[in-house]
Amino acid sequence: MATIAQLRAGLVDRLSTIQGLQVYGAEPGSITPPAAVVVTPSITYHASFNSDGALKQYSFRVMVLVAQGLLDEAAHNLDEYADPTGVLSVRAAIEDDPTLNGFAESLIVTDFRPLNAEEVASLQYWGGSFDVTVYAR
Amino acid sequence: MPVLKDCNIWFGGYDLTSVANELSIETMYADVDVTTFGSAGAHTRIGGLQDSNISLMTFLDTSISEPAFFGDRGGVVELVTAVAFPTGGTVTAGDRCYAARAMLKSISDPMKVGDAAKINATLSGAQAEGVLQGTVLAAKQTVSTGTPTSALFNLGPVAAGQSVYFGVHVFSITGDRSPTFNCQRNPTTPGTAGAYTTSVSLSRSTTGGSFGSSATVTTDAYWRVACALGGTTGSVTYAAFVAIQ
Repeated sequence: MATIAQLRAGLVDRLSTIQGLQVYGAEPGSITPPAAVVVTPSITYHASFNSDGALKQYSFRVMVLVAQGLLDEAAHNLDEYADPTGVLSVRAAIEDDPTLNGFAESLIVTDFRPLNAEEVASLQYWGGSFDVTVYAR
Repeated sequence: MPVLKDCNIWFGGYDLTSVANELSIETMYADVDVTTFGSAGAHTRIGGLQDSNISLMTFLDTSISEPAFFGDRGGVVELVTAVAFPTGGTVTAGDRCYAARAMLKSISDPMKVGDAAKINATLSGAQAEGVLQGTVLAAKQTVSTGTPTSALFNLGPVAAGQSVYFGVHVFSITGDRSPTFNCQRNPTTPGTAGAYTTSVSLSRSTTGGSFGSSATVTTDAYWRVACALGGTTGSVTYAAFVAIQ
Protein backbone atom coordinates (compact mmCIF):
# COMPACT_ATOMS: atom_id res chain seq x y z
CA MET A 1 0.00 0.00 0.00
CA ALA A 2 1.24 3.43 -0.92
CA THR A 3 2.00 6.13 1.61
CA ILE A 4 1.43 9.82 1.10
CA ALA A 5 5.20 10.31 1.20
CA GLN A 6 5.69 7.82 -1.64
CA LEU A 7 3.05 9.51 -3.79
CA ARG A 8 4.41 12.94 -2.97
CA ALA A 9 7.92 11.77 -3.88
CA GLY A 10 6.57 10.44 -7.15
CA LEU A 11 5.07 13.81 -8.00
CA VAL A 12 8.34 15.51 -7.07
CA ASP A 13 10.18 13.15 -9.42
CA ARG A 14 7.80 13.94 -12.25
CA LEU A 15 8.01 17.70 -11.72
CA SER A 16 11.79 17.48 -11.49
CA THR A 17 11.87 16.43 -15.14
CA ILE A 18 10.90 20.01 -16.04
CA GLN A 19 14.14 21.81 -16.64
CA GLY A 20 14.75 24.85 -14.45
CA LEU A 21 11.79 24.24 -12.15
CA GLN A 22 12.66 24.17 -8.43
CA VAL A 23 10.50 21.47 -6.86
CA TYR A 24 9.48 21.35 -3.20
CA GLY A 25 7.92 18.21 -1.74
CA ALA A 26 6.14 20.14 0.99
CA GLU A 27 5.12 23.67 1.75
CA PRO A 28 8.46 25.56 2.09
CA GLY A 29 9.31 28.65 4.13
CA SER A 30 10.79 30.35 1.11
CA ILE A 31 11.19 29.49 -2.56
CA THR A 32 13.42 30.14 -5.50
CA PRO A 33 11.30 30.78 -8.59
CA PRO A 34 10.22 29.29 -10.81
CA ALA A 35 9.04 26.76 -8.27
CA ALA A 36 6.55 23.94 -7.87
CA VAL A 37 5.18 22.98 -4.47
CA VAL A 38 3.38 19.69 -3.82
CA VAL A 39 0.72 20.51 -1.23
CA THR A 40 -0.56 17.90 1.27
CA PRO A 41 -3.53 16.14 -0.37
CA SER A 42 -7.09 15.64 0.70
CA ILE A 43 -8.01 11.95 0.76
CA THR A 44 -11.12 9.86 0.16
CA TYR A 45 -10.27 6.69 2.07
CA HIS A 46 -13.04 4.28 1.07
CA ALA A 47 -13.29 4.37 -2.70
CA SER A 48 -13.73 0.59 -2.62
CA PHE A 49 -14.50 -2.08 -0.01
CA ASN A 50 -11.72 -3.62 2.09
CA SER A 51 -10.60 -0.93 4.55
CA ASP A 52 -6.86 -1.51 4.61
CA GLY A 53 -6.52 -2.47 0.96
CA ALA A 54 -9.25 -0.16 -0.30
CA LEU A 55 -8.66 2.05 -3.27
CA LYS A 56 -8.04 5.59 -2.07
CA GLN A 57 -8.46 8.83 -3.94
CA TYR A 58 -5.81 11.43 -3.21
CA SER A 59 -6.51 14.96 -4.36
CA PHE A 60 -3.14 16.70 -4.62
CA ARG A 61 -2.59 20.32 -5.42
CA VAL A 62 0.60 21.41 -7.14
CA MET A 63 1.28 25.13 -6.96
CA VAL A 64 3.59 26.67 -9.52
CA LEU A 65 5.03 30.09 -8.74
CA VAL A 66 7.03 32.31 -11.04
CA ALA A 67 8.83 35.57 -10.31
CA GLN A 68 6.41 38.46 -10.50
CA GLY A 69 8.76 40.94 -12.21
CA LEU A 70 6.83 42.47 -15.02
CA LEU A 71 3.31 41.07 -14.77
CA ASP A 72 2.89 40.30 -18.44
CA GLU A 73 6.21 38.48 -18.46
CA ALA A 74 5.18 36.45 -15.40
CA ALA A 75 1.88 35.53 -17.02
CA HIS A 76 3.65 34.37 -20.14
CA ASN A 77 6.03 32.28 -18.06
CA LEU A 78 3.09 30.70 -16.26
CA ASP A 79 1.39 29.96 -19.57
CA GLU A 80 4.14 27.55 -20.51
CA TYR A 81 3.70 25.55 -17.31
CA ALA A 82 -0.07 25.49 -17.81
CA ASP A 83 0.14 24.40 -21.43
CA PRO A 84 -1.24 20.86 -21.92
CA THR A 85 1.89 19.84 -23.81
CA GLY A 86 5.43 21.09 -24.21
CA VAL A 87 8.73 20.77 -22.40
CA LEU A 88 7.52 22.93 -19.49
CA SER A 89 4.03 21.45 -19.29
CA VAL A 90 3.22 20.35 -15.75
CA ARG A 91 0.30 18.21 -16.95
CA ALA A 92 2.46 16.36 -19.44
CA ALA A 93 5.28 15.81 -16.95
CA ILE A 94 2.99 14.38 -14.27
CA GLU A 95 0.83 12.23 -16.55
CA ASP A 96 3.93 10.78 -18.22
CA ASP A 97 4.15 8.29 -15.33
CA PRO A 98 0.63 7.61 -14.03
CA THR A 99 1.99 5.07 -11.53
CA LEU A 100 4.30 7.53 -9.76
CA ASN A 101 7.21 5.10 -9.61
CA GLY A 102 4.85 2.16 -9.20
CA PHE A 103 3.01 3.36 -6.11
CA ALA A 104 -0.20 4.59 -7.78
CA GLU A 105 -2.79 2.74 -9.83
CA SER A 106 -3.55 5.77 -11.95
CA LEU A 107 -3.71 9.54 -11.93
CA ILE A 108 -5.01 12.48 -13.88
CA VAL A 109 -4.26 16.19 -13.86
CA THR A 110 -7.77 17.55 -14.02
CA ASP A 111 -7.55 21.32 -13.67
CA PHE A 112 -5.36 24.37 -13.68
CA ARG A 113 -6.40 27.60 -12.03
CA PRO A 114 -4.44 30.87 -12.03
CA LEU A 115 -3.88 32.19 -8.53
CA ASN A 116 -2.81 35.72 -9.37
CA ALA A 117 -0.24 37.18 -7.00
CA GLU A 118 0.85 34.94 -4.10
CA GLU A 119 3.00 35.99 -1.19
CA VAL A 120 5.68 33.63 0.07
CA ALA A 121 8.15 34.80 2.74
CA SER A 122 7.05 38.40 2.16
CA LEU A 123 7.83 38.20 -1.56
CA GLN A 124 5.23 38.34 -4.30
CA TYR A 125 4.99 35.65 -6.94
CA TRP A 126 2.64 34.96 -9.83
CA GLY A 127 1.10 31.58 -9.43
CA GLY A 128 -1.16 28.83 -10.58
CA SER A 129 -2.55 25.64 -9.07
CA PHE A 130 -2.89 22.21 -10.67
CA ASP A 131 -5.36 19.64 -9.31
CA VAL A 132 -3.99 16.11 -9.49
CA THR A 133 -6.23 13.14 -8.65
CA VAL A 134 -4.24 10.05 -7.74
CA TYR A 135 -5.75 6.58 -7.23
CA ALA A 136 -3.71 4.28 -5.02
CA ARG A 137 -4.15 1.55 -2.40
CA MET B 1 -26.31 0.95 12.29
CA PRO B 2 -23.03 -0.34 10.90
CA VAL B 3 -21.29 1.63 8.17
CA LEU B 4 -20.36 -0.47 5.15
CA LYS B 5 -16.60 -0.47 4.71
CA ASP B 6 -15.42 -4.03 4.33
CA CYS B 7 -18.11 -5.91 2.44
CA ASN B 8 -16.34 -8.94 0.99
CA ILE B 9 -17.65 -10.04 -2.39
CA TRP B 10 -16.76 -13.38 -3.89
CA PHE B 11 -17.73 -14.00 -7.49
CA GLY B 12 -16.99 -17.54 -8.62
CA GLY B 13 -13.20 -17.80 -8.41
CA TYR B 14 -12.64 -14.06 -8.00
CA ASP B 15 -12.43 -11.96 -4.87
CA LEU B 16 -13.90 -8.63 -5.93
CA THR B 17 -13.59 -7.02 -2.50
CA SER B 18 -10.77 -4.61 -3.26
CA VAL B 19 -12.20 -3.41 -6.58
CA ALA B 20 -15.91 -3.18 -5.70
CA ASN B 21 -17.52 -0.19 -4.10
CA GLU B 22 -21.21 -0.95 -4.38
CA LEU B 23 -23.35 -4.07 -4.23
CA SER B 24 -27.11 -4.46 -4.32
CA ILE B 25 -28.95 -7.72 -3.69
CA GLU B 26 -32.65 -7.49 -4.39
CA THR B 27 -35.31 -10.13 -3.80
CA MET B 28 -38.82 -9.49 -5.00
CA TYR B 29 -42.08 -11.36 -5.43
CA ALA B 30 -44.61 -10.89 -8.17
CA ASP B 31 -47.98 -9.70 -6.95
CA VAL B 32 -50.69 -11.68 -8.72
CA ASP B 33 -54.07 -10.02 -8.90
CA VAL B 34 -56.91 -12.42 -8.02
CA THR B 35 -59.64 -9.82 -7.71
CA THR B 36 -63.16 -11.07 -8.35
CA PHE B 37 -66.59 -9.47 -8.48
CA GLY B 38 -66.94 -10.67 -4.89
CA SER B 39 -63.88 -8.78 -3.65
CA ALA B 40 -65.98 -5.98 -2.15
CA GLY B 41 -64.61 -3.34 -4.50
CA ALA B 42 -60.97 -3.83 -3.58
CA HIS B 43 -58.07 -5.56 -5.27
CA THR B 44 -57.08 -8.91 -3.83
CA ARG B 45 -53.59 -10.18 -4.48
CA ILE B 46 -51.47 -13.23 -3.75
CA GLY B 47 -47.73 -13.70 -3.87
CA GLY B 48 -46.35 -14.92 -7.17
CA LEU B 49 -42.97 -16.06 -8.38
CA GLN B 50 -39.85 -15.04 -6.52
CA ASP B 51 -37.08 -13.28 -8.40
CA SER B 52 -33.75 -11.76 -7.46
CA ASN B 53 -31.25 -9.32 -8.91
CA ILE B 54 -27.66 -8.58 -8.03
CA SER B 55 -25.88 -5.41 -9.10
CA LEU B 56 -22.13 -5.03 -8.72
CA MET B 57 -20.19 -1.81 -9.19
CA THR B 58 -16.42 -2.19 -9.53
CA PHE B 59 -13.38 -0.33 -10.69
CA LEU B 60 -11.99 -1.84 -13.84
CA ASP B 61 -9.14 -4.17 -12.97
CA THR B 62 -7.82 -6.22 -15.85
CA SER B 63 -6.86 -9.10 -13.56
CA ILE B 64 -9.99 -9.17 -11.35
CA SER B 65 -13.25 -7.55 -12.36
CA GLU B 66 -12.80 -7.61 -16.13
CA PRO B 67 -12.07 -11.35 -16.47
CA ALA B 68 -14.67 -12.14 -13.80
CA PHE B 69 -17.49 -10.51 -15.73
CA PHE B 70 -16.34 -11.11 -19.28
CA GLY B 71 -15.69 -14.76 -18.50
CA ASP B 72 -19.34 -15.24 -17.61
CA ARG B 73 -20.92 -14.11 -20.85
CA GLY B 74 -23.28 -16.57 -22.47
CA GLY B 75 -25.52 -17.73 -19.68
CA VAL B 76 -23.01 -18.98 -17.14
CA VAL B 77 -24.58 -19.38 -13.69
CA GLU B 78 -22.15 -18.02 -11.11
CA LEU B 79 -22.01 -18.33 -7.35
CA VAL B 80 -21.95 -14.88 -5.73
CA THR B 81 -21.39 -14.45 -2.01
CA ALA B 82 -21.32 -11.25 0.01
CA VAL B 83 -20.14 -10.89 3.60
CA ALA B 84 -21.48 -7.47 4.42
CA PHE B 85 -20.20 -7.02 7.96
CA PRO B 86 -17.09 -9.13 8.55
CA THR B 87 -15.92 -9.32 12.14
CA GLY B 88 -13.42 -6.54 12.78
CA GLY B 89 -13.21 -5.84 9.06
CA THR B 90 -11.83 -9.30 8.23
CA VAL B 91 -14.05 -12.20 7.27
CA THR B 92 -14.08 -14.74 10.08
CA ALA B 93 -15.74 -18.14 10.29
CA GLY B 94 -19.18 -17.56 11.78
CA ASP B 95 -19.85 -14.29 9.92
CA ARG B 96 -23.23 -13.93 8.22
CA CYS B 97 -23.32 -13.91 4.45
CA TYR B 98 -25.70 -13.65 1.53
CA ALA B 99 -25.30 -15.90 -1.49
CA ALA B 100 -27.03 -16.68 -4.73
CA ARG B 101 -26.48 -18.51 -7.96
CA ALA B 102 -27.05 -15.91 -10.60
CA MET B 103 -26.71 -15.44 -14.33
CA LEU B 104 -24.98 -12.47 -15.88
CA LYS B 105 -27.61 -10.21 -17.42
CA SER B 106 -25.59 -7.19 -18.44
CA ILE B 107 -22.17 -5.60 -18.26
CA SER B 108 -21.63 -1.88 -18.48
CA ASP B 109 -18.42 0.06 -18.88
CA PRO B 110 -19.24 3.67 -18.07
CA MET B 111 -16.57 5.76 -19.72
CA LYS B 112 -16.28 9.44 -18.99
CA VAL B 113 -13.16 11.45 -19.47
CA GLY B 114 -11.44 12.09 -16.17
CA ASP B 115 -13.29 9.37 -14.26
CA ALA B 116 -11.71 6.23 -12.86
CA ALA B 117 -12.50 3.36 -15.23
CA LYS B 118 -15.31 1.13 -14.02
CA ILE B 119 -17.00 -2.07 -15.02
CA ASN B 120 -20.38 -2.94 -13.60
CA ALA B 121 -22.49 -6.07 -13.83
CA THR B 122 -26.08 -7.03 -13.15
CA LEU B 123 -27.12 -10.61 -12.58
CA SER B 124 -30.46 -12.35 -12.25
CA GLY B 125 -31.15 -15.10 -9.75
CA ALA B 126 -31.02 -18.32 -11.74
CA GLN B 127 -31.85 -21.14 -9.36
CA ALA B 128 -34.79 -22.11 -7.18
CA GLU B 129 -33.16 -21.37 -3.83
CA GLY B 130 -33.00 -17.65 -4.62
CA VAL B 131 -30.94 -15.51 -2.26
CA LEU B 132 -29.62 -17.47 0.71
CA GLN B 133 -28.74 -16.06 4.09
CA GLY B 134 -26.00 -18.26 5.46
CA THR B 135 -22.90 -18.49 7.61
CA VAL B 136 -19.28 -18.45 6.56
CA LEU B 137 -17.71 -21.69 7.83
CA ALA B 138 -14.32 -21.22 6.18
CA ALA B 139 -13.02 -17.69 5.70
CA LYS B 140 -10.78 -17.12 2.71
CA GLN B 141 -7.64 -19.08 3.44
CA THR B 142 -4.72 -20.78 1.72
CA VAL B 143 -3.96 -24.35 2.75
CA SER B 144 -1.23 -26.67 1.56
CA THR B 145 -0.97 -29.46 4.10
CA GLY B 146 -3.13 -31.84 6.11
CA THR B 147 -6.91 -31.97 6.05
CA PRO B 148 -8.06 -28.46 6.90
CA THR B 149 -11.26 -28.50 8.90
CA SER B 150 -13.31 -25.60 10.16
CA ALA B 151 -14.69 -25.25 13.65
CA LEU B 152 -18.17 -26.62 14.36
CA PHE B 153 -21.00 -24.13 14.21
CA ASN B 154 -24.50 -24.59 15.57
CA LEU B 155 -26.61 -23.74 12.53
CA GLY B 156 -29.55 -25.89 13.60
CA PRO B 157 -31.20 -29.01 12.16
CA VAL B 158 -32.63 -29.47 8.69
CA ALA B 159 -36.39 -29.86 9.00
CA ALA B 160 -38.77 -31.35 6.48
CA GLY B 161 -39.12 -28.97 3.56
CA GLN B 162 -35.73 -27.42 4.23
CA SER B 163 -32.35 -28.00 2.62
CA VAL B 164 -28.77 -27.42 3.61
CA TYR B 165 -26.98 -25.38 0.93
CA PHE B 166 -23.21 -25.50 0.64
CA GLY B 167 -21.11 -23.12 -1.43
CA VAL B 168 -17.37 -22.99 -2.04
CA HIS B 169 -15.27 -20.36 -3.80
CA VAL B 170 -11.86 -21.58 -4.97
CA PHE B 171 -9.68 -18.56 -5.70
CA SER B 172 -6.47 -20.33 -6.56
CA ILE B 173 -5.07 -23.80 -7.06
CA THR B 174 -1.37 -24.49 -7.52
CA GLY B 175 0.57 -27.68 -8.14
CA ASP B 176 -1.49 -30.81 -8.67
CA ARG B 177 -4.12 -30.12 -6.02
CA SER B 178 -7.69 -31.24 -6.78
CA PRO B 179 -9.58 -30.48 -3.57
CA THR B 180 -12.81 -31.97 -2.31
CA PHE B 181 -14.86 -29.95 0.13
CA ASN B 182 -17.22 -31.78 2.46
CA CYS B 183 -20.04 -30.14 4.35
CA GLN B 184 -20.32 -32.30 7.45
CA ARG B 185 -22.78 -32.46 10.34
CA ASN B 186 -22.62 -33.77 13.85
CA PRO B 187 -25.19 -34.22 16.64
CA THR B 188 -22.97 -32.84 19.38
CA THR B 189 -20.18 -30.39 19.97
CA PRO B 190 -17.32 -30.85 20.06
CA GLY B 191 -17.96 -33.53 17.47
CA THR B 192 -17.44 -37.08 18.48
CA ALA B 193 -14.68 -38.56 16.35
CA GLY B 194 -16.10 -40.73 13.66
CA ALA B 195 -19.63 -39.43 14.05
CA TYR B 196 -19.50 -36.86 11.29
CA THR B 197 -21.84 -37.32 8.37
CA THR B 198 -21.16 -35.68 5.04
CA SER B 199 -24.24 -33.90 3.70
CA VAL B 200 -22.78 -32.34 0.56
CA SER B 201 -19.50 -33.01 -1.19
CA LEU B 202 -17.99 -30.72 -3.85
CA SER B 203 -14.87 -31.32 -5.91
CA ARG B 204 -12.90 -28.83 -8.01
CA SER B 205 -9.71 -28.98 -9.99
CA THR B 206 -9.90 -25.38 -11.23
CA THR B 207 -10.73 -22.03 -9.72
CA GLY B 208 -14.39 -21.05 -9.54
CA GLY B 209 -17.51 -21.46 -7.48
CA SER B 210 -19.19 -24.75 -6.58
CA PHE B 211 -22.57 -25.27 -5.03
CA GLY B 212 -24.61 -28.19 -3.76
CA SER B 213 -27.51 -28.96 -1.49
CA SER B 214 -29.17 -31.76 0.44
CA ALA B 215 -32.79 -32.03 1.51
CA THR B 216 -32.09 -34.88 3.92
CA VAL B 217 -33.91 -34.24 7.16
CA THR B 218 -31.62 -34.36 10.19
CA THR B 219 -31.65 -33.39 13.82
CA ASP B 220 -27.90 -32.81 13.71
CA ALA B 221 -27.36 -29.15 14.45
CA TYR B 222 -23.60 -28.73 14.24
CA TRP B 223 -21.85 -28.13 10.93
CA ARG B 224 -18.33 -27.82 9.60
CA VAL B 225 -16.34 -27.86 6.37
CA ALA B 226 -13.57 -30.39 5.82
CA CYS B 227 -11.21 -30.06 2.89
CA ALA B 228 -9.34 -32.98 1.35
CA LEU B 229 -6.61 -31.34 -0.69
CA GLY B 230 -5.96 -34.13 -3.19
CA GLY B 231 -2.67 -34.33 -5.08
CA THR B 232 0.71 -34.02 -3.45
CA THR B 233 2.07 -30.52 -4.15
CA GLY B 234 0.79 -26.98 -4.19
CA SER B 235 -1.90 -25.11 -2.31
CA VAL B 236 -5.57 -24.18 -2.45
CA THR B 237 -7.12 -20.83 -1.56
CA TYR B 238 -10.81 -21.09 -0.80
CA ALA B 239 -13.77 -19.92 1.26
CA ALA B 240 -16.99 -21.77 2.09
CA PHE B 241 -20.43 -21.13 3.55
CA VAL B 242 -23.49 -23.09 4.63
CA ALA B 243 -27.11 -21.98 4.69
CA ILE B 244 -30.13 -23.89 5.99
CA GLN B 245 -33.52 -22.76 4.83
